[in-house]
Amino acid sequence: MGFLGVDVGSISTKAAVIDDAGEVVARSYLWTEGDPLAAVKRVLAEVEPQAKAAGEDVVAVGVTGSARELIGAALEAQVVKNEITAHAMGTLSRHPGVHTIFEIGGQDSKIIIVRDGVPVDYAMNTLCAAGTGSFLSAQARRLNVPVEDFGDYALRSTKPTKIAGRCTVFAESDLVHKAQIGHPQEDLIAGLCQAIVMNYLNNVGKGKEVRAPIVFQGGVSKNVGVVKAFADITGEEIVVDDDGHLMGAIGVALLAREGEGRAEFEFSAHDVEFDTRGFECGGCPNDCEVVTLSRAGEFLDGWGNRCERGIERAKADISDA
Amino acid sequence: MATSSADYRLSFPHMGNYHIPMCTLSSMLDCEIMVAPKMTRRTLELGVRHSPEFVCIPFKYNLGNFIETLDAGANLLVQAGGGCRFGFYAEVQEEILRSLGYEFDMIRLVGDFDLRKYYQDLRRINPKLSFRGALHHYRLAARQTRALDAVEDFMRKRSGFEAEPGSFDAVHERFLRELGPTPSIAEAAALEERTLAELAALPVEMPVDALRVGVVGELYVLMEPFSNFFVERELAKRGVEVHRFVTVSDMLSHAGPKGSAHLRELIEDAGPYLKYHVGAHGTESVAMTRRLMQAGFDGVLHLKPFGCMPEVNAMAALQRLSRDNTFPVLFFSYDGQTSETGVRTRLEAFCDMLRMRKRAGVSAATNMEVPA
Amino acid sequence: MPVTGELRRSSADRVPPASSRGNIYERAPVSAGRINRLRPRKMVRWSAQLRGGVEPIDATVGIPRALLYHKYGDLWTAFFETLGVDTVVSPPTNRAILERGSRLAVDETCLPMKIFLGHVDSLMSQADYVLVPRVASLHRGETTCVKFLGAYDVARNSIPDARLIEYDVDVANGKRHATEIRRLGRGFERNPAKVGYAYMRARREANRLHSERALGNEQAALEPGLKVLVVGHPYNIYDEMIGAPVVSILREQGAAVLAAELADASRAKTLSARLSRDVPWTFNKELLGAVEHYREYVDGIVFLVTFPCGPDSLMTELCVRRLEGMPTLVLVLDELQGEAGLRTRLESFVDLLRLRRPKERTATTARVV
Repeated sequence: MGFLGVDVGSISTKAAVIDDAGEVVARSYLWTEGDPLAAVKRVLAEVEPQAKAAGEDVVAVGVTGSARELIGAALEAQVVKNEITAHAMGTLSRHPGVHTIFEIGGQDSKIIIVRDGVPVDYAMNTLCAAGTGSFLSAQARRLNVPVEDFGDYALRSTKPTKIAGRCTVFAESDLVHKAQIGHPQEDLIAGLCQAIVMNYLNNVGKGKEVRAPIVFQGGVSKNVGVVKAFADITGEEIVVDDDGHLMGAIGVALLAREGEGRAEFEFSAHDVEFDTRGFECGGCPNDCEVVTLSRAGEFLDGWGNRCERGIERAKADISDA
Repeated sequence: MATSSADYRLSFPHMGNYHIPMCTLSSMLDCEIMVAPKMTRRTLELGVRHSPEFVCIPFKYNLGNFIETLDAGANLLVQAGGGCRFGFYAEVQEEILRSLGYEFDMIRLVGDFDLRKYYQDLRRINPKLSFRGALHHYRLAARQTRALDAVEDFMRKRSGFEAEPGSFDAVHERFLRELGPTPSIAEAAALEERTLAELAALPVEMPVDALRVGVVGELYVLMEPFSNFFVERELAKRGVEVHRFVTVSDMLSHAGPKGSAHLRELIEDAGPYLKYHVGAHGTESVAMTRRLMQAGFDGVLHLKPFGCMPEVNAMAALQRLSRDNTFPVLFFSYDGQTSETGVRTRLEAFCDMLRMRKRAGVSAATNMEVPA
Repeated sequence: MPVTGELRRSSADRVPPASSRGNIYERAPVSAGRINRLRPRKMVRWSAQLRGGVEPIDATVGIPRALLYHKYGDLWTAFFETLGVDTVVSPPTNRAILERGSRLAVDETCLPMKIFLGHVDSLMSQADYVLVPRVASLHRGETTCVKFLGAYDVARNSIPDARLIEYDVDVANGKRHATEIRRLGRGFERNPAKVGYAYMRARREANRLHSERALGNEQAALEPGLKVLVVGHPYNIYDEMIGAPVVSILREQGAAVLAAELADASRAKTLSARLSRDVPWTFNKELLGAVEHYREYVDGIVFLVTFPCGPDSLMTELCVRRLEGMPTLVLVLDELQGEAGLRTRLESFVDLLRLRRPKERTATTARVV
């Protein structure tokens, strides 16, 4: 039997299929490109042949990530979990002795403190995206260096430039200024990597006891420059898992395996057109922004409403259309 | 402008369901009482638009309430104050509202808790008010507040486990309807007793590993569920027994000269984490968190408006307490841009984490005490 | 006296500023030459007669150059020096101190408090104890900002290894400054008479220095020329990273700078009633009164506010609304502030003030050149 986990983030969409033993038999990692439904279709198309080849039939589905409610409804998932729990579960299955999990994704970052195999504390970034992957890609565009090459540049630097990293806007002007006065590119990039780490530790990691072993994951963990900066600043060894970007998907697949719900998952059945629509309810001054999901004119689910009225209106709206 | 008390239409800002006893209290002034329109997102938008940029969020909600109620015809506003920035709300809000062109009168109950001084202020509006009459209204309102707090306290602890969805809410709503008209202290007490019995009789399904979580922090965001995105209800929905200690009755019972003894007790309970009072409810947040930790609670949720200095002071202590004892404390800070989805996600993960800890704690020996 | 004179203590034996920027607010440690140490000769013999001569505790007290230092710094240094206790004052705020403070503090702590924690931390290696007083109220019916209530506990919790000494002033609960600081002094010197003498002496010295500065401020208000009143807490105006750039840019633009903080406190408090009835904080009350005191004499007012200061957020709002016709500029500073933006805003403000008083134009432009 196989268990499918899908992690739909703001920047990237990940899917993994695990078998009874928890081994990953299929994996996929793609950009969300602002359309989670389309991205999920693409990752499903990628994992299906891999799962088939391993001889695993998917019997339960788990969904996590910021679009988990939408995708959970579309895939009729058995488990819909927040990404913090999913990541903790995924990492713990691979690294049972871990004490600290650093996670930096496209738009958010979190820290999970684990003791004796149990998550005991966590924190997540607040509104600001300064300590996340989108900050790095924005600065990469500024410097005209592909973000994939950042790591190599950073490793070449011997004297990282100090860059104010607390805020994207300020970091950018600081970066431009430092570039103008002639700092070499590799030092700037290494400086950026340090800025993101400092910002992470000051913001998300504030007041937390960072104890080794440390696992670093999420999209940004693929960047060796940031890994090195973490190692330099914490003075500890940083473990990066090859499947680090898939931990959310693996975790939620494990949760689906542990759950009760079982239903044969037919990949082809989900290759149909879904329709999402958003509108402001207007039923009261709350003006809830209700989002609905429907398939061939049939209402599936809706979110964002504070009261039943929003959903009633949504249903009426769909049947009118 | 109004000249006799009958021409006044009195209104005040919202906070939870306290508008009910507040109506009872204000009826001593013998004028029409208008409850401000229900809190909506528009309330906050109005408040944010006309407030200083980084003033704390309760100011913005209060101002939004005032604007909406003035638009609906109120001409006499009541605002309290004290403890921190709150002590300066009334004067600044009055200035802002006047410059928006509203005409109204304002009762500012600021400074130290002093019934006699308040009475003098109130005589200005209703010269016929006797001290006995004022005292009667105050005592009845205080009793209604206590009834309200007792019922809602029970709701927080039990409603998460209701066997029949909506059964607790139904009783609660009826209670709220009946509370306002209770004419005497005895009847308010009887209503409280009746409602608590009814709630206790409702069928519940208590799981063995039910979580117990305490909610501490700044009083306004604690007591106005709209401002905290209904976190207590969200916790209850996830099968959590929610405990909260900051209520208006609690504040009234420690008001005046009894306050300093209460503070000393709190500082003692805060143990090594506080030596002095750190302002407003900050000391209580630390003391309560430590008490709950020692009582074997599963975790604590700390709520505050962004930049709330007393609670920021408390946070330094709470972070250390949490780190020293690996006791989970989740911090939420509210400003006009706090995302409701973000709060939900964190809350969900918090409950998951507590449950995992609890399960591990039951099966294996850890440093956590397991509640009896 | 040059343009920069009015806030500066005028004494000739001033120690030159430590920073390269030349911080005019630099408070040099009180030199041993000016204040007679208590220990030498006469006093020691006197005290020895009293209780048989015990050597004072040999300890160095670190004084963070932040928050209340800018109000009581002269008093503290003189007090400890007279008691024969060595003091070390942290250097003017620099980027490292600020960064360290931001790292230690809860994210939404106000900027002065972050800086304060940075200073406390920087003193750990240099001093045996760091002085972190708690000042909850200075007068009945008034309070101080909540951060002063928590300063001691916040420092203790944010820097668990720090060795702090404190005294607790809470006049509303009967703990007066004079009594409490002497109680602290008793930890270093057992003889109460000696401690009392040290306090008295320190008080007198601090008062003398303060009135010199206040007098300079008053005189500057009467000078012709463009004058700007800077309304801000002393720990903001005199901080190297917060207020110093503001003041120096204003001066470069040819404006004389008056500090609201230096107005006579008791007069200011009476005057403050004209602007606000309810303001509960002593320091803000004094600032409000100072605005009232100086408003006739100045061309414009700059409010120096740090993010996210609770009292100032409300006081500034009220004040600006009630100062109709007076040009005001509200500067909200946080740790991300770049100097370029600051300069643009201050320059255009001074330009605006100059345009409002055409008869002075020639004189002031001459000064800029």
